[in-house]
Amino acid sequence: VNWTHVTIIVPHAHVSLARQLAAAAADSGVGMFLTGLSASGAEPATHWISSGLIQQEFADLLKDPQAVADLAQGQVPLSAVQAMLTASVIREGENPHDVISECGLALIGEPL
Amino acid sequence: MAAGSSCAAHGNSPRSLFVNGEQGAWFDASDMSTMYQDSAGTTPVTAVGQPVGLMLDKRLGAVRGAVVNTTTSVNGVAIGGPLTTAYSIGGSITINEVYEIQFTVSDYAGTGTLGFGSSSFASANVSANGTYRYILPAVSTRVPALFTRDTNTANFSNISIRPLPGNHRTQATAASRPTLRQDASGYYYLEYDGIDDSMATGSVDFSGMDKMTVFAGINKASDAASGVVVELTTTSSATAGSFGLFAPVTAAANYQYRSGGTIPAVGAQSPASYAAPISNVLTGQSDIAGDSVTLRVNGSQVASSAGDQGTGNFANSVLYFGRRGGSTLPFNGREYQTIIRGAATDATTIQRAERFVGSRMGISL
Repeated sequence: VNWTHVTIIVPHAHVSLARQLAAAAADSGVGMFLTGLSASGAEPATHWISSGLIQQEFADLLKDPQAVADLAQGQVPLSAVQAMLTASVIREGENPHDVISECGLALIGEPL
Repeated sequence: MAAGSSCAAHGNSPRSLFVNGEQGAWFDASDMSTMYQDSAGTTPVTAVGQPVGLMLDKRLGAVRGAVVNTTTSVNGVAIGGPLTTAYSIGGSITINEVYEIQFTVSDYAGTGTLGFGSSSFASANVSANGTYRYILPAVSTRVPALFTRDTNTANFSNISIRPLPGNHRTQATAASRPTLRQDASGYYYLEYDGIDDSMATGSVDFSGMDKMTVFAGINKASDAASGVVVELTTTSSATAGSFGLFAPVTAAANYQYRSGGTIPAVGAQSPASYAAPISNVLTGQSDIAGDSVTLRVNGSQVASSAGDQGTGNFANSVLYFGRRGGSTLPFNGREYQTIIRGAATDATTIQRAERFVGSRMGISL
């Protein structure tokens, strides 16, 4: 298996679609984009993040909106996928904490 | 002792902590044979830099038991057709127990997938010749079966289902798996990214005990926010019978171990004198009835509490590693070793276990 480290930050408006498509891509895509971000680090989340090793073929897919749309088997218009990918931040091989900071966001904390 | 070397006898191994049937778990990042890249155990971890989706609990040795199936081969499996055609391989399994399942497919022809399970295990489908292995919990007591569907034929051989007892931990979401790494001194660890990495066991039944001992060899990479090293139940803040080890707790250069019965979250919090990045051997001990919680760092007690923990025992619940409930309070750092023992532990044994953990991360105690 070829793995590559990817950090993906998705705006809240697109997260339902992102979760749906990640799950459609692979069983191991279920559970992505469940970590919330906001500028203040407080609720509500304005963005959602997934960061870690994913299969290279999955990372390659992110560069091809049509291939991503195909995952939904016609249920999602290409324009929606393009809008989601355009609005999202996708970085390979970068420290996710640096990417979060660069975007002016912070992990949403929880009282202990 | 060199990084990654093995102890010669159980007497020097954390396995000795469990010889009387104590409940718990032991996760050893120096033992690559216990790790798989995916949560179903199909692809072993073979090198640093790979994700860890399944990690075997070594408390019972991660030893496979005897084959439970009564049929070891099925030849000339007929075309399945649009409906599943199942072939029982006999034997009995126990729900929620983990099994290693192996079989070889040969002479595969046609289209579609072959499967294993018949509601005994989570679906495992293949569509080519080869030898396959899965490590999965039984989801029912149904007799296992192989099956065909669509239009294919195949021979199955070397079929074996063997129990693999232990409180193994998994992470099904690829991007949330910790990564196996090796530090500059050659010691192996799991890297948790402080974002969304975590693992979890199935339910671990601690309901028969009110005493707990937790050892963790970690490197804390950040003090920016609370991080869960290990926590029993989805939140130790409000759930009876929980414990939790945090690195740090609230944004500070500290650690905390907490525990509670009907009154949860009685904590022993270290002074703020452990600024990240820092490597430490942490030991938490608790006694619900005895109203005692202590935290040791590198072999010395640094905090304690005699606060009222109420009554009752620890929970029969999931152990979470790296995040609270698998969703919040992400730990940012390295995990070299974690040992959870559902029992009180005497001082000599604690020191021996702490030395072991330290030896796996370059800390001499």
